[in-house]
Amino acid sequence: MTDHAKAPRSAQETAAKAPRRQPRVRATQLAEDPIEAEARRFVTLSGRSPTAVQRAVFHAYPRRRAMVVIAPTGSGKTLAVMAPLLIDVSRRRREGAGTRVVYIAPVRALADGHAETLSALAAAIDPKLKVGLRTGDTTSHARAKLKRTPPAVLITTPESLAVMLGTDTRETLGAVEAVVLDEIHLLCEGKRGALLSATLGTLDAMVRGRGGEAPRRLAMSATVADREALAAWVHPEAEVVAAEGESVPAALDLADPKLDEAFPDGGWAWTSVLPFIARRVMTVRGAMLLFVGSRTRAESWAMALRDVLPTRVGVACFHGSLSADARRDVAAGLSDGSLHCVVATSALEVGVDLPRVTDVLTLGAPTSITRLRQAAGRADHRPGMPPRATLVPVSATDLVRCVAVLSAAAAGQLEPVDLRRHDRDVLIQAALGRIALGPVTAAQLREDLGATAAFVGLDAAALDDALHFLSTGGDALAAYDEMARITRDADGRFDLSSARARRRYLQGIGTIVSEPSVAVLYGRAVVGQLDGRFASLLGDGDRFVLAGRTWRIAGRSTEGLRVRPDRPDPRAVPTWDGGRAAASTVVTDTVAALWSALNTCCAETPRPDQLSAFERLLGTSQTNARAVLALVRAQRRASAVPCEGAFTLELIATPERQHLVLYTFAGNLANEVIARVVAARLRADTDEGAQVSAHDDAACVSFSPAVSLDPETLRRWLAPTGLYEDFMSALAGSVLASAYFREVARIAQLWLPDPRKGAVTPGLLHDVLSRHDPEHILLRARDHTLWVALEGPRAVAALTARATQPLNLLRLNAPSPFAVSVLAWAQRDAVAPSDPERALADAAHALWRATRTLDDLA
Amino acid sequence: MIDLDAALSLVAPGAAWLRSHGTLIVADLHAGYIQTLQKRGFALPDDADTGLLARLRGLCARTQPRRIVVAGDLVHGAPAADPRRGPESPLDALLAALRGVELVVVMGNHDRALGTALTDRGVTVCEHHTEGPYTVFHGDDDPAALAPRVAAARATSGRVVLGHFHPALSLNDRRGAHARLAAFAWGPGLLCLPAFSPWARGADLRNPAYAAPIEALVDPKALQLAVCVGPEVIATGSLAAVRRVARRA
Repeated sequence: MTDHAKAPRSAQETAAKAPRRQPRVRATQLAEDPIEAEARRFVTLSGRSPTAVQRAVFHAYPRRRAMVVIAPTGSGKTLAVMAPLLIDVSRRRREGAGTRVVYIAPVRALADGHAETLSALAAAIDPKLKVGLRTGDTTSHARAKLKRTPPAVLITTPESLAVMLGTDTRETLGAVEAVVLDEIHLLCEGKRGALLSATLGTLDAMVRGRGGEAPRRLAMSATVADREALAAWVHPEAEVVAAEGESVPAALDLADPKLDEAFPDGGWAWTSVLPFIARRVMTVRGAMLLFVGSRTRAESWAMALRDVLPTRVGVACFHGSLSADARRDVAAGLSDGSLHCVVATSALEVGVDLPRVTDVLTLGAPTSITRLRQAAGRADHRPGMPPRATLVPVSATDLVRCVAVLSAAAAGQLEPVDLRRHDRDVLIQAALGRIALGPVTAAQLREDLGATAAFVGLDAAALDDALHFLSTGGDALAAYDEMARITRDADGRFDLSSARARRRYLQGIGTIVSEPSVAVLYGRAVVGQLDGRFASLLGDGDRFVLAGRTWRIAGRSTEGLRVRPDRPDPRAVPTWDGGRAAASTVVTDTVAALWSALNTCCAETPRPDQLSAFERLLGTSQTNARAVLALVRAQRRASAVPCEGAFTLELIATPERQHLVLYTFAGNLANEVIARVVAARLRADTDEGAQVSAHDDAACVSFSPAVSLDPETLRRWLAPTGLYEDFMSALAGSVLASAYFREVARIAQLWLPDPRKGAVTPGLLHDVLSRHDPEHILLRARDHTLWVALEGPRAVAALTARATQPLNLLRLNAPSPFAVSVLAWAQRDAVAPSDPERALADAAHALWRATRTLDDLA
Repeated sequence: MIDLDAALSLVAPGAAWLRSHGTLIVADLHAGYIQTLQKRGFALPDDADTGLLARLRGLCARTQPRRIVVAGDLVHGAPAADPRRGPESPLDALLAALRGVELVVVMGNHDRALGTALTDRGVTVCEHHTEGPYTVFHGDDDPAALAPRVAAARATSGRVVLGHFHPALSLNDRRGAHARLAAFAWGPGLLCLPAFSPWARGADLRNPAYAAPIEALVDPKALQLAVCVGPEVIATGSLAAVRRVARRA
């Protein structure tokens, strides 16, 4: 009871009353653990009673198991975890023990934001508990101070933790008792999450090596689709503590702009939706966030809105290419009320605090429920106010998509978190990280890494491959001493080969591979970043739009592109190449089901009642229901609406080309895989070349009219077996392969960004390795990365599911309304090389046709 | 293949072919490129110029030239033999592959490292080489000095043939993928050859910084381009038009 005596007198009184205020005191809780009791008392000190999640975590805390706390934003998760933890640490004070709690945040901005909150919390619990912050932004002076006097609680990022473990700063972490993982659903994603799981394993190994117990893991998460998978990622024995009941359901609704045209899906329906958005901005209570799909679109929408709105209405845009200053300006403009609308990309979804946002709109259907929820969460969340968002459809097909997304969201569906396992490039960096801790045998390495979520059950051969690569660089590079990053001693223990190898490892920590970009400078201010390839096309005097302003290029310097402001010019919006994100499986499945339902409704309802039936089914205005009904009727007349239970294909014969449209509803990436494989198989059978294109709903292959098709051949081309092999051989030598090699080489630290003039590029490295060592481990890693990034597994699943369905092959002489939007994409995505050389020749000829008119005019 | 005039054709993967003279002009072979990078401390797999030699042999087999004129940068660095690969230096390997053909080397900036190695081996070396109405330079001279030569060549409907700039053109597939292809660039009085080295990625002429030295000699509206794709040479129109199309995309 000595600890209790420390609490101030008034607090004791408050605490004494607190249990009486609790409506749900049960007998078991009477014998509550001292930490649980003190945590409760601490919360009630501030005059509030613990929330459901706090009660649950306080109760579970004394069991000392790993824990995943799942609760909505604003439910007091952080306090739920940190209060008992800090009380616990404070009760077992160990002078000079170094850091006791490591708090990991997904991004620097969030780490910065937590520093203040946690300092205040720690000070309130025990003034002697210090909180420190170490991220990539921390100065070397501050880092040295953190090393001399390690704080009890260290807030950091996954990369900074790995760096600390790779240097002698690790000594400050030798007595860590707990690791807190904030926003675990973001931390555990992709290759970055895989590397973090290995880094946590390395931390465990280090603490155990110093006689301690592996730190306890406490994770916090928003609602996720598969909490068991998430818990298993955190720790094999982690328990889930969920308090989702308190969450206020998100208020998601559908805007009702007038969609006059039935199917303008290929382009963006500026004319129909712009006035609607502008009116919403004019009447907004605080400020509006308008989410769009790309940076280019953010810039052009901001510009268009500024054109039609009075000047007193402030409009800005926000995306990943803007400078930190420009982003801060946006936040400042929102809080002082000078900004009324921010057009943003998903860059804004995480980690930026935006005041006064009352309305969140998404333009077009979001590609996933997760993304929609994140967008909705950006609305000013006061307690009790639900996250909310309005979906603005831009065409009749998009309207159906929006309705599908809303119904999936209402049904509580979510996409699973992208957890990666056994990526070879990550394994290489993870092994380096474990070896950087100190000499270790292959068996120990396998045991330590094999206990982490990303490499669970790691097989000896895979580890041997990675160790061979780290020891030699692979057969083609074996002649280089510097490629031998690790050496093996007589006892079979691996160690870093030199101080240089350690420096190189520390320099290359992380999995984020940035695209080349060029800084845009106005005077001494950085306006933002331009895509390197786009910037290289601009000459002096050329104009472009960035951060909502038009700039003229005044010159170039070593720091970047020098610009001056210029008159607004809507034609000057830059284009950033880049893949469109594919709609998630949850979304495409729901969309497919909704088309089926609409088709059935149209087939079974008497014609006069169809409109009102569509209105009910879609929950939208009569005007918009009419647009969708017109589309469904037209599709049924011309062809058929793709339905569940059958695999609908259209073969559209025009005099020049045949277009095979496959309604797979597998997302545009998987559809591209399918289309490329069908093109490759078609080529193998007929020796005819084909163009491919992909859409979220359908894949499209275009080929010569000389090819004749029967259902049997089609079945063979659509077989899911051999998809991987056929796709990879179709891609061999293509530019895509080289682009993905860059990521793999960077993560495996074979290639690190090198500012030296004439330095080796990943492209050159790729070409040389492909020629001299085609079996190189990184080329295999590249294939796997490419296959996963292009959603190959989803393509296999889609074709497998349809292999047993009846084929509904429709032979048409003109594109059906559905096919129009697929072919519209096809027109824009000029080539996709199933035969790279042929495709490049096609592209060169296309360029010739395009330039000829210009040259003839000149 | 593109016939530029009665005597001169452009052939893949980046050479000028003077049919009546039986002369091939190639530029920027940069033999020993990978070895030179290795010597500078970059870890790369060994490459005995197999790609470069295969290109040269293929081209010779198709055209059967009597003479090959190299418009500079025959090698990338000094001709040291690599002890791991045996006694033959990249230069010797290259000369052995071209045995039986007369070789004329116009000195390029990289060739200065050779010293007397070429003359010692009996190769004709010169600062520029004239063949009929065509004069071959490397192109590393001051553009101001080249301009009058181009003007003079234009007047006599001949051409100045240059290497050095490694002209190339990027083609996009509009979904993030792009490929840079070796390109010929020509205009009145001028022909710029692409780099013949398979490792040279080339300088995208759409980038004004790279095109500036060539634009100083020929107006971009009059500067025609053609790219090499496999065995084909495909014309793409003028640089000015190519740039406009690229920006519209």
